[in-house]
Amino acid sequence: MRWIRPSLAVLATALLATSCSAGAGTGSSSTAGPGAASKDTSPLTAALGTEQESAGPAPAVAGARQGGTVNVYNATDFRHLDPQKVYAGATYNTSLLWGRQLTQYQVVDGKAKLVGDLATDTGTAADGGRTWTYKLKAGVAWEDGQPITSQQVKYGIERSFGKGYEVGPPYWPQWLTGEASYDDARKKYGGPQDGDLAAIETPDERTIVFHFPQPQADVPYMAAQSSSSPVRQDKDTGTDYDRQPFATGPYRIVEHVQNTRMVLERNPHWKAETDPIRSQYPEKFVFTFGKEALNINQEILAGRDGGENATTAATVLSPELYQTVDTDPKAKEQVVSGRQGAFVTYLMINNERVNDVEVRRALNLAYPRQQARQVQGGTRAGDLATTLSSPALVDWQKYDLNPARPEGDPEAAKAALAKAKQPPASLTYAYANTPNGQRVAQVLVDGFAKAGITVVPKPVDPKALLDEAHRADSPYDLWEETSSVDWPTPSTLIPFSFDGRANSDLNSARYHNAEVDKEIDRINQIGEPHAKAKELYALEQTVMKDLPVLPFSYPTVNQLRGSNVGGAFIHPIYGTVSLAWLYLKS
Amino acid sequence: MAVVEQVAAADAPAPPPAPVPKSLLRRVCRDRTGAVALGVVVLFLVLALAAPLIAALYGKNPTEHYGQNTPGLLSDGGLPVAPNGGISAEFWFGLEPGLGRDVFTQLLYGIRTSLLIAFLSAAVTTTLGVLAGVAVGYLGGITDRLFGFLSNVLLAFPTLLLLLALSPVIQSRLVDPGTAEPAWMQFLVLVLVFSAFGWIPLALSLRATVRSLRERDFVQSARAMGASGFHIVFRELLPNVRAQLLVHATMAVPTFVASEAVLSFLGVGVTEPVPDWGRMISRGSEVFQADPTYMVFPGVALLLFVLAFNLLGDAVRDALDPRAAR
Repeated sequence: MRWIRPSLAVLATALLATSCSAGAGTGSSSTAGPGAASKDTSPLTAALGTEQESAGPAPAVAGARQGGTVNVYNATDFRHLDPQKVYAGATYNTSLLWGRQLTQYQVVDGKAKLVGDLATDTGTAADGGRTWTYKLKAGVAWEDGQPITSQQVKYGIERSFGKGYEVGPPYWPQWLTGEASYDDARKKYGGPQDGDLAAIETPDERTIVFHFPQPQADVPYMAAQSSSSPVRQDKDTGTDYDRQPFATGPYRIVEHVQNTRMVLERNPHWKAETDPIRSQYPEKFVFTFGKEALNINQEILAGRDGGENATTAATVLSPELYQTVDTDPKAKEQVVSGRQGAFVTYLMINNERVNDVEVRRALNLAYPRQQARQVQGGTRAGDLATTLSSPALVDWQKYDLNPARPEGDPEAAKAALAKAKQPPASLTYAYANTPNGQRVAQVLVDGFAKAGITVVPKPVDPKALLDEAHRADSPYDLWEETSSVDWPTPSTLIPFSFDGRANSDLNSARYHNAEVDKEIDRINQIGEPHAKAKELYALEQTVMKDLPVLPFSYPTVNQLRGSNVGGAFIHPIYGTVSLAWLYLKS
Repeated sequence: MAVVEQVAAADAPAPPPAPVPKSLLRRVCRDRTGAVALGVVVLFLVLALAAPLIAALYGKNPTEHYGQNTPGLLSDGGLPVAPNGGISAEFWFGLEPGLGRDVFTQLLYGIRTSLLIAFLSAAVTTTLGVLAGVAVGYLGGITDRLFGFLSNVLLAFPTLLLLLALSPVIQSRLVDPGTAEPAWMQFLVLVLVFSAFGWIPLALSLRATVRSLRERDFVQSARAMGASGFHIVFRELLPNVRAQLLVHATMAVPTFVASEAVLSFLGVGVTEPVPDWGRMISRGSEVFQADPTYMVFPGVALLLFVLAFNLLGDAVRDALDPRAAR
């Protein structure tokens, strides 16, 4: 079977693309505190936690103190708060403050582990992965004290089939109906107004059973997405639920004026002993939206008028301040850096146009990666990549099948090019027409020219770049693309983006390999997550032998925290500062 | 934007002959400011013409990424390692942050970009302005009313918006996907847009002048003697507006230089890798906190250049104005 993502927009904004800037995030210092993870291994230690590990309370944060108000300054408001509409890493991360899901990532010392959140564990599979059963914990409650039931979880998932919920992830509808496309899935069931969804059973108040037509290995990860949050039918206010959802987490939303301000207070009915992930240290969170990114960063660095108690939800450190944080040790301490979730940046190649692997090998050898990174801020911008998959994925191991010098090796590239049947006369590189994009284009033109490869730079409107490059008859040979899998397993990487039968929106490299397609079909029938991941990593190496795309970097994200804010780290999965772990030092 | 400031329409000059005095250069130089301004303008012209020669003697070119190719010149983040933006005996004005190109040769070749566009635009607008202004002023009547309407429409046109909207269209419609937009096309578009709107103010002021000249005795008598329209326009009217033209042209050049810099700053002017001051200033503003030196050179160069041309224009006007006290 095939996995089709519904649209390009989803691909581009997948897991972590935030409602705020995607920008050339950057930052050199490694994180002080729990964010520091080893660079060559996955931050996911044991992917799935046991029932014991899923019991609350969350591991205490060392030195944490109760009380105070944390200010959150963000350049923009969140695009959606309705749990079934949220599909962006920053919002996933922030909504942990008020929303709970069936499962969630517990983070200790920068290492994430998937544990049961509302559920007692990460789920029990039966029937080769076709049936998954979750049991809700006792004592979990809504902000008005009423218990959370399995019917409310089911109602939440049913909503994601509804009209207006296309903005959310397509997986529950696709998996539960067995349809490869979201549109077809919605024809079978169109949301709660179509009545009961038979594929989800709720034998009692605390048990929920999913029945899938095909085996599904990634249900525990999907159960951690915001779509898997319960919604209470009597509190479902429709479109207004997008402004103020009803809380199940440690905080509740008491006020939200869109694009202006949002105030969270402690939820008295949240019980720490049921929650293995979140804490409830500060008294309040006050969000302010709409300020300029540079102003936000300067206020936090200055530490006046609440800046000392502030951080951002997704607004990154402005490039104008790089020098300041490099030279001022006090400011440097306030930078929180970490890998931007599971994002990887590639130099994409249109394999239908550049179909000779020797030419792609020459490109890989000549690629001036280090120079391209230097014009974007250097090591701040991220670590140079050698793999298709991100180090954020479960069981990830570093590999490098096509070693190349980071500054490019024109001589070796020329030798590789000599083996090509017909070296290309010139290659067209499409880039987002921004000052940064222009500079990278200059670097590539210069670097490839040294190896005798003529690259023609073509500026394209930044918003249109991916549409242009993914179009079936796209005239471009090369372009840069940053994308992410939907959750930290390799399941949505090769089977989505390197399936020769998929259209050029998904398989934008136009990679065609019948062997790989056959393997994809075989692996998709595997219901056990670790076994499936292992097979997919092996398949990834098969793909990389053909060098369909050139990995560039694992981008880094840098945010600021006020001098009085403790416990700040970049969430290893969601890629922004995790608000649910914060406390005020005094 | 590209609208050239309206030159104050002098009242009808004295009856013929009132040609441009032969001693104009001497008169401009008699004014000390004018002499200095002329000197600076000539210096810029010489630098622009001799750019390849100077660059060859200096041993650098404006396109090579020195900072990236030679370790130790730029930091990991792309900033010049040496103080003051990397100024050294090797790189007189320092290095460009990021790509590490030589600032001195970038500036030098930037003069060529600015001057080429500005001179071409000034030439086209002046020609158009003269033809339209004199013809309309002489003909009057329905032509005059049509012209009045057309000029109002063109003056109301949002030039900057037009350029912002036009540049992607030109990119996608006129340029083959496999090739880059050639530099001459960028230049041509800028010159065309500047010209399309820049001729109106001159034409308007000339129309007013010619309208009053046309009623003067010398024109009337030429007409009475049976002179053709062609003769009247070219022999009687044009020589009387020559001074106005010269002043306009001198003032137009710095306006176009500044406009071109603004457009490049906004990303719709001249693109990489053609050296350009506006783009240098734009990059300077990005890195201003970290490397303020980089902004100084293109900023000061542009200021000097525009100032010198404006002062020269003033001096020319003073030299030509019969009523100016000397």
